[in-house]
Amino acid sequence: MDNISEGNSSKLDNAKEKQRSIFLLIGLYICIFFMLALLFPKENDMLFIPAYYFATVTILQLSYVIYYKFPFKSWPVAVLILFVILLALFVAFSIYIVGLAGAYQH
Amino acid sequence: MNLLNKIYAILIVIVLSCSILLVHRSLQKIDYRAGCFSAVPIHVRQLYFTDTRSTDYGNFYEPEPNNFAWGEVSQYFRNSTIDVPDSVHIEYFSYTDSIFYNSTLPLDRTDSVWGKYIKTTEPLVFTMGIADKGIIKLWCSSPSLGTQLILAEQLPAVEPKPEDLYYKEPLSKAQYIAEMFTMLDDSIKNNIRQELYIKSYKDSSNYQLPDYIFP
Repeated sequence: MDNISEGNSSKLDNAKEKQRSIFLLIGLYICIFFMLALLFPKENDMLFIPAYYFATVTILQLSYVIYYKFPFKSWPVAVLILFVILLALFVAFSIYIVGLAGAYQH
Repeated sequence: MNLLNKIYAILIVIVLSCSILLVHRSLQKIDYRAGCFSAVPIHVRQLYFTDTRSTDYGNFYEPEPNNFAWGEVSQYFRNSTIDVPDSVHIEYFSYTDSIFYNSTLPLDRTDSVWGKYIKTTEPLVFTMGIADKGIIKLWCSSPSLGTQLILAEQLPAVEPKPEDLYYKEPLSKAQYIAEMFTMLDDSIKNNIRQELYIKSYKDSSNYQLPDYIFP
């Protein structure tokens, strides 16, 4: 009986920690966005904000997935994949638009 | 709290502290405009304000070689959220005497006139005037302090470096000068030959800011 209750309490603790991690991550994602907006106030640099943002958020999401060892078919992994796709899209767009601007300059 | 959450909490504290610092830093910055006019035909290679606290350049709209008149600024460049400058860098080629100028002029923060403009939180307007023989004048304007001359210098002529003679491709000094003159209207070339632009602006210290800037 004691073993069962101990197991239950550790599961409960784990669930609490996971929930706390989610709240902290959401707070972190919001704070990072505002920090990047303050860091790159100029119109020319604003282009890089989404790329930097998704790179940071992807690393943080990856740390969450690895730490709690989530299976592949779980929502944190799905969110991670979504961030990776968005990061790739914005990096590709940044490279394209910078190349285009360079071509116009010369 | 487990290790991961401790790391997340520390990161939140760091990001929040950085954000507060950035807000504080942006409050120190001001919004200013910079314009330029010349009394003689010149080809400006570089003209910008610099500041030791940041890597931002305070840009100007560079004057056109074919469109110049003392006291007439075609456009003011708006330098938003930038530090008050502490020096101005200028590089240009003068058509009237085929001389190159390249200087960085410090703006003395202890100067009584310039010091007053630094302390104000109002938007500032800088106007640079470039005359013959390397004479440059810099005026600063604000709604409450009005327009005052903050810098008057005569720049020394310099020998151009190889990188100064790059125009589409590396050129010799003679080739560069010849290339510059191809951009000039024939009437202006004729006026230069007849020395019609020789007029000293050394003692000219008045400038009237256009009314639309501070309505």
